[in-house]
Amino acid sequence: MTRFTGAALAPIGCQFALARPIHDPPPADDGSGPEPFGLRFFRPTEKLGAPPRFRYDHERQLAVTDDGTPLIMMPGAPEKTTTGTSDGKNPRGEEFRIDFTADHQ
Amino acid sequence: MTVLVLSEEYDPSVDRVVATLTDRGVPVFRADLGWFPQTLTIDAELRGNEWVGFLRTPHREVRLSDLRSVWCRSPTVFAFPGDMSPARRHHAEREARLGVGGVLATLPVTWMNHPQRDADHAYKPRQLALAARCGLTVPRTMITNETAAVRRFAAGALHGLVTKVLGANIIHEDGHRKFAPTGRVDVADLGGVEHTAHQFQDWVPKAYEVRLTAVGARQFAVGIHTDDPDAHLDWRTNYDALTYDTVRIPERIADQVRAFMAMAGLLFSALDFVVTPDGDWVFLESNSVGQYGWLTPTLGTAVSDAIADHLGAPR
Repeated sequence: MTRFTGAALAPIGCQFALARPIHDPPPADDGSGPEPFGLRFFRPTEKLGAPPRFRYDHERQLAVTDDGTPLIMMPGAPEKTTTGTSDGKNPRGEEFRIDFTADHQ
Repeated sequence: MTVLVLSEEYDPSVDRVVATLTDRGVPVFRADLGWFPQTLTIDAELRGNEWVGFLRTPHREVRLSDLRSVWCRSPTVFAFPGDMSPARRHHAEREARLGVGGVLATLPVTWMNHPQRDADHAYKPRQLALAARCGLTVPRTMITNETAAVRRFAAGALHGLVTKVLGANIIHEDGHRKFAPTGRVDVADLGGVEHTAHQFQDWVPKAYEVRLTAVGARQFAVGIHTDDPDAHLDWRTNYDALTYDTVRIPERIADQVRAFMAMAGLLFSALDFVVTPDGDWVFLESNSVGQYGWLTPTLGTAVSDAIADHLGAPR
């Protein structure tokens, strides 16, 4: 029996939760062992799309294209959506990222 | 006075608000906590009963006492050198969270939202109870790991049962990124219920759904319509099959949402409702770090402007 060693109801990490960096995927998991009922509803979806090519402009404090145009000024610039399938139109769209904490790794 | 924005570098919704504040002449200090400790530093002292000092990057600095508000919108986790051992990294991460997070969380400024209120709000059973206390209609809901309890609960469901995960609906398993939409439940096959807590709810007949974005007392509602069977069950499964329109919020619902936001201690949240064929609004959940940017073609810049109004208001 594996037991969680952190505080079960109020881990410290949850008091200042931070998002998982997009370049830091979770550890590989082979999906073995007993399967909770809810997991049968999970279905494979595409990997999150990469964000459009951008650089962070520290002066204006926003994302810009190579030529310095703010990304939000570009027609069709991708928006984040809620968590869902990633069809290239919602790169890095994650609704519920609050649960990435050191206590849960 | 300055608005502190904590977010990752790529977030068009944040970009819009930063641009609006800048156009209005409101100073902004934007940073991702993933920059700490390498390019973001903290220099804070406790003087009397308040933390004073600075946050600094190579490009700017802000005096903590100069802050009027903080917008905390999913900054990424602190980043440490790749060659740090796991034990040292864990130590450094925890010290950063307790130190940087502890100082920031204590600042007596307007928070949208305070991270500890966001943390409280991650618990959906709490959301449902708060919503019901504010008078909002919520679906009949059960949390259990007993199959007999699910069957008992299902007997009272007029339109069948659905199950929804309580936390993140993405897992990485067996080489795949997997997503869990809302699922219809067959009570003849409940194997695995016993392995952990599960949420079951009555299926609520729906004409359409609404995403209501609340910013303080202001509310912006978008109707989400679809003819696609999967998207009818859960609109996140097929964005291409959705159409949107602006929706008038019934006054009673608006009042109840304002009460809910106050009780939850939130200045921002994206709430999801089902609108039944009879026109009743049924609360599903509230996402205190929810997205709204993809609704900009329907809402325009109304949400961004409202956020900027709140963040830029005098302390």
